[in-house]
Amino acid sequence: MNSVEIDWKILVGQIVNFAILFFVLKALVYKPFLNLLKTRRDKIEEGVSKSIQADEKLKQIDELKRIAEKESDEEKKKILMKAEEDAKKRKEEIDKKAEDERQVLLTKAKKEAEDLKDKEIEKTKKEIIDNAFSLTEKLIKESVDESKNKKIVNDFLNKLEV
Amino acid sequence: MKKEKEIASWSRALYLALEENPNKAKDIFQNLEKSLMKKKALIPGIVKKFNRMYEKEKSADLILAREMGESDKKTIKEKIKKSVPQAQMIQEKVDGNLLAGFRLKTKDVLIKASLKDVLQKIKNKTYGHN
Repeated sequence: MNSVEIDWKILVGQIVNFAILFFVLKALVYKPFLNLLKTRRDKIEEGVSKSIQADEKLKQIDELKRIAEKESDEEKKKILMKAEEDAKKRKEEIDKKAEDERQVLLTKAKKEAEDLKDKEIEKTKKEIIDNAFSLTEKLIKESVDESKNKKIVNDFLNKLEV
Repeated sequence: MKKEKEIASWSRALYLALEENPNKAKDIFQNLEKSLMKKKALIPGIVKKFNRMYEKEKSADLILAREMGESDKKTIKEKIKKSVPQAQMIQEKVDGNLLAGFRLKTKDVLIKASLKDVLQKIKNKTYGHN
């Protein structure tokens, strides 16, 4: 039966080697690696943090933009409303002016029509009167004889004497 | 020229005096003679001028609507002379347009006494004229 023999010298040597290797590795590899990892993690955390900040900023910008747009919309709306109001006012003024002018023209036309009507009535009236008097004169001329004329002359003379 | 002026002045005075007092004609002429004294030669001229003035002042046109008999015309003229002192020398005419009645025109007055004038008056009132 083969038994396992432990060479204490080799073991100790191995342990020493291992310890030396351990400390060397720890000092030269592990620590810089940890530092590297830490730096890397810090950078990542910083990046994440910046990304969050950027998101926040973006959100703020979006909000500002939205507010600005809203304000701009309000302003535009106000301008539009004012323009609409002005246009309405202007239209009312134009309508009123047109109505006034229409009324003036209407009144003038009415007056002219009335004048024309009155003129025509007056003309017709004059013609009727003239015709009536012409006819009356004719009838009188035919009906007045010498004796009637004498009587009329005497009536007028009597009035003169009075 | 002076003589003419004097005649005109005396004739005018005579006319006015006779018009104011037609019944005192004799006295007025006597006064005229007295007033003229040495200028009595002016009397014929004064009378002539007076007559012309009288004709001018007292003549009148009687326009009848129809011809009338002489006696009627005489009666009419007499009545007119009584009523209108300015019409003492009347000449008559006929104008058929007057229809009936007459018109009398003196130097200052126009008397419208015809049916034409009556109708005209009515016509003016109908038109709305005064």
